[in-house]
Amino acid sequence: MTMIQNFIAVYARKRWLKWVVLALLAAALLAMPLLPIPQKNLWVRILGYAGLYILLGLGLLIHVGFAGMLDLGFAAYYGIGAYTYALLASRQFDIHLPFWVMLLVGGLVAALAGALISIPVLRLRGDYLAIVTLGFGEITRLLLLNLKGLTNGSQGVIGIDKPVLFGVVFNTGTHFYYLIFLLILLFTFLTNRLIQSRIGRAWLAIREDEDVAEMSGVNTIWYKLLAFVLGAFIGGLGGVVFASWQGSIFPDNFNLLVSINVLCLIILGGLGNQYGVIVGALALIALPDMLRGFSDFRMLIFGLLLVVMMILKPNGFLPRVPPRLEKAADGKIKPQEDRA
Amino acid sequence: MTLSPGLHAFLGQLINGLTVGSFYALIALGYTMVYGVLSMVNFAHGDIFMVGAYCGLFTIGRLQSIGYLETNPVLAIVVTFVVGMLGASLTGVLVERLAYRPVRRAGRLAALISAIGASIILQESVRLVPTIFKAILDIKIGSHNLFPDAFISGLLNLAKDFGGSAAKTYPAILGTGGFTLAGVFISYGRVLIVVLSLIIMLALYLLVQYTRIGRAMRAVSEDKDTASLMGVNVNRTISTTFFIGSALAGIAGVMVGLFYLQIRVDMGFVPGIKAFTSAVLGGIGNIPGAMLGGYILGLVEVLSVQVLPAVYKDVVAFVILILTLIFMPNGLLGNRKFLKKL
Amino acid sequence: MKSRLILTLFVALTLLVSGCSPAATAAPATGVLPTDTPGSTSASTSIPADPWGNIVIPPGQSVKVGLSSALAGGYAVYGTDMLNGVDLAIEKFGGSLHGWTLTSEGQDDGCEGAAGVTVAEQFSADPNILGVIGPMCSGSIVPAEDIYAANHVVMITPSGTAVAVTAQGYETVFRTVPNDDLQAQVTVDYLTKELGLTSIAIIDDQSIYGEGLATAVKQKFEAAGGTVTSFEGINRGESDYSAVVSTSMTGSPQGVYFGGMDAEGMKLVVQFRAANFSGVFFGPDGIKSQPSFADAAGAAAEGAYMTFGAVGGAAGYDDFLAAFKAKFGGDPVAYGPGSYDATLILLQAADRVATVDANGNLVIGRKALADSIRATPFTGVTGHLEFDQSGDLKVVSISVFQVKGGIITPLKEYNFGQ
Repeated sequence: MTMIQNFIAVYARKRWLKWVVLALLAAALLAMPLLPIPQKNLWVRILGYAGLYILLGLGLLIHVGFAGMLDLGFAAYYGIGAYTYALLASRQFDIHLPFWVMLLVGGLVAALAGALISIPVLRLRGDYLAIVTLGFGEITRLLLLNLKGLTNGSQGVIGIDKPVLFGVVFNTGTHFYYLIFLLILLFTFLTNRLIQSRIGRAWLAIREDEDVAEMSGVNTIWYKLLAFVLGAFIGGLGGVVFASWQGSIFPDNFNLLVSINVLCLIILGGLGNQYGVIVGALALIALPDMLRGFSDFRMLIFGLLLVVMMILKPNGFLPRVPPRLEKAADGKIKPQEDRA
Repeated sequence: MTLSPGLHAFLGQLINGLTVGSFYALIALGYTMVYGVLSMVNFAHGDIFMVGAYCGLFTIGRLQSIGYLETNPVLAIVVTFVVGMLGASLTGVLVERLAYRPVRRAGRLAALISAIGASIILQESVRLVPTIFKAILDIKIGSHNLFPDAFISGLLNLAKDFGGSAAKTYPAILGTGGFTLAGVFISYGRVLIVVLSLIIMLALYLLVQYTRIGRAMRAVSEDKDTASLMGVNVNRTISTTFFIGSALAGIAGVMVGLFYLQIRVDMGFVPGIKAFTSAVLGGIGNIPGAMLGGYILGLVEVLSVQVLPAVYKDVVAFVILILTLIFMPNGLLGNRKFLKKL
Repeated sequence: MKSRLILTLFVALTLLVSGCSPAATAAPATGVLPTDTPGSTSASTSIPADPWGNIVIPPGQSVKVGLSSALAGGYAVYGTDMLNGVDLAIEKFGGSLHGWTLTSEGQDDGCEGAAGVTVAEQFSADPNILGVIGPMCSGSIVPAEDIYAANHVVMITPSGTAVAVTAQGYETVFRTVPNDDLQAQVTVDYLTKELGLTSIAIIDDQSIYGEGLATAVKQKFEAAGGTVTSFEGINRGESDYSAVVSTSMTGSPQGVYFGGMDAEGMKLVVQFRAANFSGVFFGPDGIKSQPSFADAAGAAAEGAYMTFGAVGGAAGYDDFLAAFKAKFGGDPVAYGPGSYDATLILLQAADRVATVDANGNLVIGRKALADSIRATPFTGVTGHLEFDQSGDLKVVSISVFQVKGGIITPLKEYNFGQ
């Protein structure tokens, strides 16, 4: 591992080189759907789907990585966002609200759900928080399944509208690929800003030791609530994209396994690092493709990976991104004046 | 004696509730005991219940194929229970040793995630048993199979009873016979389950209260380090706790197989959560609490059907879980463990 | 930490590039039809242009018959049976199409909607798929058929009986079984006329199939003057149905109708008998399974009735049965013969319309394939199969069966469309 770290250290010094490589990679990803690669449609779909998971991972990262709250029911927000869109933009009730508005609306409804769910659990910690969030996740799925008059139950909502932008209907995987790519860029940027802000520092404090943070004057309840709401928003947004992409959704699309998948991919990547989310998602999706002959064993390997990782590297492969501390003009670190 | 239809239905549901409650109580005991000694939620406990069911299936399948089930049903069932119990308890000890002990010092989060991993591993392992068998038996030297053909087909048939992704069925040995009490029909199967469960739980209680092992378990759950200082072998006590807790889950697994007939590799999740709810309801770490919680949950769930559509049964359990954790975290019978901040 | 980003993206791309063929991962639809493999020259002018595009299989690659069914989980008995039917049909057909090897590819859809959609997307994006047998369950078909239709992939289901299946009018959808309106009709006819029941309780498994059937039975039974004492839904996959059993028994119905499949039907019949219910238990084709309903429930299944699109008695069935037993070591369960016929229909149609272009590729026009299936009557082991414009059979027959002495035995046959 240190060899790689040295490699990175050398790399890191040449800033312009970093940007070049970054640009090349971005260009490759952007150009991919336009190139004549064999079985291109499959690749577009797989990467697009990995991208959707990256988006969800960014949302869950706020809960788990930034605010330190283990959330085992993230699929609930995903599902709420998806159903919000599906019920208001499909043949189900014959209402057809526009996608771009619903992106926000779906996210907001999920965020509201996040707020409501979080209120009772804000006092809980550790595995109790985890179990309660799991309970909420399952309750959401069961309600989606059993409120048949509203959601059509196990028969799902079908015929969901596609997004339309300037007359272009998003009906191919390529459209969604680019949409998801943009959303990832947007939210990676936003979450990065978030970490570097006061909010991020408050979260770091809460994550490291909640009692000390509380005693230092951090309003832990408020910041945990904020984390819940923001993470849920992203989850809901992801749900809207999923519903419009797939064209039909079912309660089973938002089960515990989805929550666990998203959790695992951010664990693989490292719990405080957005880029780790990307590693995790690609490992989760790309790896099974390589192990084609062993795809039957994918989940087993998954489970083994989880256990082994916890034994060897409980903090994940990539370290957390700590917020930058402010430096005064003379290069010395300035003491923080404002209360985080 | 004829009862009004309402009372008739209620008594019928009471019996159902006791049966279901027995399952929850047996599995809940495993959760509560492990939480007592390790302060961790054994996420994989539901899957140990599943392993017990499959071990039982394997046993009863073999006994049926050699005709033993026909001739000696009672003994056959006893053997099935024993094997199911042992399979589950050994699995539980193995899981503790490999997935929990190494992460004991790494914190709550790591332990929980490791438990999730263990749960996935157990489920997938059982599901993949026929696949693995087939892969091994397909090993060829040159162009001939390594193993003789009859051996292969025999073993493959055997493996099918041990796992696989399709749902599997126990032989319907319990039958549908029963007796009528106060106009309410009670099947023999239900009687077996409730009586057996109560006996086992009583045995457990006596074990914990009056034996050395039990004392060691109570000491470790009270304060691990002090117990160690007093000469208790903490690691061995923890292993024993897992052994016993998993044995109970294994027995529940065989019971479910015999009673409901159908088992699947993912059958551990929902009962696991409900059993955990029961443990929390009674006060996690508290053995009589787990038993009480199990029966209460069973009854509440079954009676909720009188007021809610039957499909909301699971929602009821989850809601109880959440309400308990939020408003009554110490459970009904109290729990010294929870007073410490987690 | 941009350096970490670089490293991770670099590693990820390496993984992706080195990874060969992408596996079956769940992902939403493209909507774009991958007709020609990029890089190969497009069809030469001698091949007629097909309004839906062509299936183009280069030499040396195999032609795949896809199967979407429950290959895992509670209904796997049926799904495996279907895969066996497909494999036997491929073998009977000779294993190759104009020299291109034929293979089957079974994907698990668990009899669920979500997975059915995923499998539909996988198959639709696979350029080597000739057509799909299935999906097995109506609950999977209804959402999946949108995707198959958008990609012009032909699907023939030997088991999807819900009326909704052909309601959309897609030209790519075919089924070799009667629809549930007819099945409900037969059920009510038998309940009222043969069994003389005047009150039943109805339970359904909340799927498009089960609920559709249950609703149809309710309507027809009430129209015939009967009373439905309760109408309850259950969640699939649970073990304990004692609650719904109790609810159904209050009101003392003379019989219980269950719209659903073998796994739940088995548990229900056991739990009803264990609750001392002695009335009639009646179910649809979904419970007609010797191993997973009749055998599994043991004595509790005795006397249970079920309906099914008639099988057997058609010419060639005995030979089929012998071949099936020899190859798979047991009798077909329910949809094995139907899958066999469906596969042969697909393969024979492909045989008729396939051509080889100047580059040596096998070319099959998608619309030509669908039209050929629709236009050509077929006589198979499940009887005379001829499709109408909507993909339904013109002539069907449905039989009522009963578990007698532990064996599912036919009782009465009803014919429609003759």
